[in-house]
Amino acid sequence: MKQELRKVVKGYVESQELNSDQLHSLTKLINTHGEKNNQNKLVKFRVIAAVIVVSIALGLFWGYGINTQANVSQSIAEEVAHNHLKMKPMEVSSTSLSDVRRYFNKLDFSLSQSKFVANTSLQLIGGRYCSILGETAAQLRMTDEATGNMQIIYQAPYDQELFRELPSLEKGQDPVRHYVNGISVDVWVEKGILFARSFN
Amino acid sequence: MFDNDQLNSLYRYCFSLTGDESESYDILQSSIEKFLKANVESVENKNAYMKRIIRNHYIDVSRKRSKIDEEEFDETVTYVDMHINSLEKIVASQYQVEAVWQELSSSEREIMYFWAVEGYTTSELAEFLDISRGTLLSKIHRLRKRLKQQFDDSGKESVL
Repeated sequence: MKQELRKVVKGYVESQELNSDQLHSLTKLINTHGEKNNQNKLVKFRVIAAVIVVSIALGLFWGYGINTQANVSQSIAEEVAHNHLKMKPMEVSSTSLSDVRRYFNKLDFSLSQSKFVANTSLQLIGGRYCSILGETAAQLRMTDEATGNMQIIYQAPYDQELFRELPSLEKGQDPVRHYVNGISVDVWVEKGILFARSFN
Repeated sequence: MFDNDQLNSLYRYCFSLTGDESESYDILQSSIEKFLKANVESVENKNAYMKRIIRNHYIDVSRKRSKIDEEEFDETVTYVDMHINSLEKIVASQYQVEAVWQELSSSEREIMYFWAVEGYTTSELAEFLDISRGTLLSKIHRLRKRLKQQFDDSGKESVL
């Protein structure tokens, strides 16, 4: 019996069906992938979570390190500038480094000359004990023969745990400069000694 | 993801392309694997997306086997003013449709499927097939001519 082509085609195509084995096989394929996908998602989630945690930890550590490093350098500068402004009386007066060295016999290190100020026209006039962040330090008073201004060189044993990373001349780094209450302060490390220089 | 009704619906689309039950299952299985690998959970209409995968996969497989004419799924420029509803005027028996089904090209069976089973309009079908309306009308014109000829001839044979 003839009918409209659309009805006949629809009936014929819709009579085509997957058998139960084929349906089972395809359903299994889809479900297996779903389970794998969930496992993959879990793994991905764990990896992402681990990356986030590590990133945060590194960020905090790095940020803390930078912050601490900057804070230490600034703290040294503030203490040095305070000393410079106080300008307490010298405990030893001499233009001879040998004489001054003999006076500073309670130090755990030997006073040294820095390359950073070696070629300047500074003249030693004496010194006194002081401290930098609780570390016993030598304060060497100098006058700049060119200008007549006072400059003070501070030296203390370099304790990396206490002072953190500071510019090292041996590594080709320049001293870090701070300005505190009108006083310029350079801070650096050289020959295992923490150096600071304050001047107007 | 796909229930039994949806799987059967996709299988029927495969059948319209291949005209063969066994090959339809192979195409459907491979297409589902492609769909799963693509990991496309965000796709809104998974059924339409799957049909697109099935069609592309079938064309790839067929071209590898040189089974289809390269021009069959490509656009031509011939334009004939023939609406898809022109197929409505044709009448046929179940036997005639089953007989002619294998003889039609993949492209012709696909048009028949979307017209009769999915109820697509000419514009919807042209958009899905990614061909111009003119090209589709041209294909419909050729299909109608062929069906008319087949059914008329078989009618004559049955009379004889």
